[in-house]
Amino acid sequence: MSEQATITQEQQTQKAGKYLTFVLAGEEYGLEILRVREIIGYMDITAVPQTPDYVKGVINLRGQVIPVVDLRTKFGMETAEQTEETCIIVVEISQGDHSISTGIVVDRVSEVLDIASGDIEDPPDFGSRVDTDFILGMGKIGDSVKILLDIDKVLAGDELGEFANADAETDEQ
Amino acid sequence: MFKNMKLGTKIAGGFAIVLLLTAVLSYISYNGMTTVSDRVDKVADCNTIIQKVGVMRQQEKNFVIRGDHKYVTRVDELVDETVTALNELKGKFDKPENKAAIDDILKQANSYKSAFDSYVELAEKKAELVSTTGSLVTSAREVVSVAETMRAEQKKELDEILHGKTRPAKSASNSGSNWATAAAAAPATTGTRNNKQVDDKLTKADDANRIIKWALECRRHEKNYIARCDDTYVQKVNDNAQKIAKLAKDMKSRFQQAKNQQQADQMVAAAETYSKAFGEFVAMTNQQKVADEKMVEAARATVESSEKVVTAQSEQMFSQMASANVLMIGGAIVTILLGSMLALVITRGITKPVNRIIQGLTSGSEQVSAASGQVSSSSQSLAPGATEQAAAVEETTSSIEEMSSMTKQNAGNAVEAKNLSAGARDGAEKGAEAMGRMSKAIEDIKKSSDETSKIIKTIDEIAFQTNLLALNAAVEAARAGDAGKGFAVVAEEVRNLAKRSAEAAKNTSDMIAESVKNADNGVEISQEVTQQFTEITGGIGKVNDLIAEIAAASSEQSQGIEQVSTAIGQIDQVTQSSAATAEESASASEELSAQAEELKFMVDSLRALVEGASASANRTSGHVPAGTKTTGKLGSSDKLWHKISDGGAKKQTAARKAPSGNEQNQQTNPEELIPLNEEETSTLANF
Repeated sequence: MSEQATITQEQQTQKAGKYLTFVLAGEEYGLEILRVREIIGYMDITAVPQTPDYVKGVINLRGQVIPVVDLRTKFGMETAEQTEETCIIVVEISQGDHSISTGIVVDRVSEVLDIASGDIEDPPDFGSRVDTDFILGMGKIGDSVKILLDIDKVLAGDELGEFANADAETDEQ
Repeated sequence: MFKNMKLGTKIAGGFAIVLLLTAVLSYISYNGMTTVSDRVDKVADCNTIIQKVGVMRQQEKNFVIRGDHKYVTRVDELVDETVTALNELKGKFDKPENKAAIDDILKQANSYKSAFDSYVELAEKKAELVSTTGSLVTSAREVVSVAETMRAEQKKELDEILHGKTRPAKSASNSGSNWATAAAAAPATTGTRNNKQVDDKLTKADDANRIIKWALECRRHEKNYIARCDDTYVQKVNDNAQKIAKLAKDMKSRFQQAKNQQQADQMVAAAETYSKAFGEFVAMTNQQKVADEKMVEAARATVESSEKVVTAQSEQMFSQMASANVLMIGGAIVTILLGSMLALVITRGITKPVNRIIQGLTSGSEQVSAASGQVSSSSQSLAPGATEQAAAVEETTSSIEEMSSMTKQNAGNAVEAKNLSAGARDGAEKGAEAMGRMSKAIEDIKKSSDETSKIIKTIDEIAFQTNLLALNAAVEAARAGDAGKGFAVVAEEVRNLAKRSAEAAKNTSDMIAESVKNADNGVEISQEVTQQFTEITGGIGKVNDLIAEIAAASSEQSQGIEQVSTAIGQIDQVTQSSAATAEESASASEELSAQAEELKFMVDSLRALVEGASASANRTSGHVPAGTKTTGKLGSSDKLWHKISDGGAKKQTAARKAPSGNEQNQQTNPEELIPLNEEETSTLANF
């Protein structure tokens, strides 16, 4: 029991750190800051045919073409009109042995928060049926709760992976 | 339908129906009478014919008895008349059977005529035969004369034989009557000389005597036959004639002298002639008998046929009379029934509405008398009312004068108000212009605020970018690990600044937005104000117009008021006259009530006329004196009424005298105040 607690404690300690918080459909989400490569304002996205509907297309980020995912679509939320505060967060997803950059469209970027391990809790158990693997934990800031996302698992779609692979191959060439 | 008819129409219709029925009845009776008279005429004709036939027969008998030829002409005339009458009668008949009967009668009459003619002819012949010159008479006379001559000769011879030739004249003169004594004497004288010769002479004389006797018997029998027409006489005449002939022949044989033989021959011939003539006579008599029978038969047939016709006609006449009687009696009954029914209906139709009218009139007259009482009282109360009215009219006149001055003042005020409103309009127009300028200024303010808000937006964008940069810096600092800690702090600071500048920009933007909104409001308000000013200007214009109208109206009003005051003067006049008229109408209403009484009396008279005197006797008694009393007064009041309704200026002065009291003296004649022309006076009179 104590061993189990120790492991959890260790995990929690690993989870503690800086998170970039953003807003999606009124809810605040958190991303590990080390997975964030850059935050950019909204820019024109080139749509790519024969991709899932949550893939909005690709952008040219200083010469590098990266895919952009609409996180609202991915989460099965309603699509929202783009505003002045709409941003694209470029994250680094680890795909096997290499990592790829992907842009995610969010409603608004809030701030960088330093969340202590004591303020992070495990995702709640909704039962075996509900998959909560993509949630890293629940960050308690004051009275509010921020959902900390495991962006690797969020974007662990095989198609995206292939897409990313193709992308990587293109990079290598 | 019947109720809606006029009274005259009802009565006329009823009489017309009754008259029509009477006419129909008259026609039927006339028709019957005509037919009957026609029949009677025919029957009379037939009877005339029968009578004529009787007269004819009489004349015929006269002829038979007397043999006078004038009767023949009479009979002929009668026959002709009868035929003419029959032909006329035939023309009158329509039925073929009657015509046939008449034809039959005609035939009979003709046969009678022919029979009579033959009879007359025979009678004439007979008369000729029996006349002195006729063969019958001459032959008989010849026989007698020859026989006498013979006898006389024989006697003479006998005398010669007996006495010589001295006394032949004496014996000849006595031969007619005293031949027997002579004969008796003869044998006595001659017997002595020559008996045989005497006997011969005597026989011969005797024979002659016998012949004479027979001839005379013949004549006697002939006369008997003529008188009695018995055939036995015929035989006797014939026997005698034969005897004469025989004896004459016998004598001839006995005569020696040729002269005597010749005489005997002459006698035979005469006897034969006589016999022949008598035969003819007998034949004619028989023929006459036949003709007579024929005549009788024809006459009887004529009479019988005529009587038949008469009977038939009278039968028809009686049947027609009976049918005409039935028709007439039936018609009379129908007419009487219908007439009485109509009389009942029409009488009811008249009396019912008349009774209704009487009731209406009675109640009407009662109401009229009551109403006239009311009219009297109300007109009496009207008189003081009219006087009060006159006073009120004077008050009205003074107030109208006040009103007139006020109206004039009003007109002046209105003009002033018009000027003032024109000034107000100018002010409002200027205000509207100023408001236009103000709204333009506010627009300018709004424009500049918009520009400012654009700048603020740029600042906000810069703040956003700065924020992003700060976040990226924080990310980079985090990546740098511990080395980036200081940088992270700087980034945080930069971020805070960006946040603050964003907030400031947002505040400024809000403020500017508010000022823009306010400017908009201002523009709106200024527009509203401008509109209001325009409205005010319009309103002031209208007010101006209205005030002008008021001014005009006021002047018109003052004119009107003057007219009103004139009219009130007239009203005053009329009021005075109406006060007089009220008095008049009071007296007139009394007359009216009297007339209503009279009307009642008249209605009662009408009721008496309709229902009979007994029905309304109790009612009339009370009203009679009232009615008679009022008639005298009626004339004068009528005159007065005519005077009033004549409507002259004269009437007004006359009427003004009527109301009593002190007012009369105080009131001046309105015509003196306001002179009226003729038209006005007449219109006034028609009030």
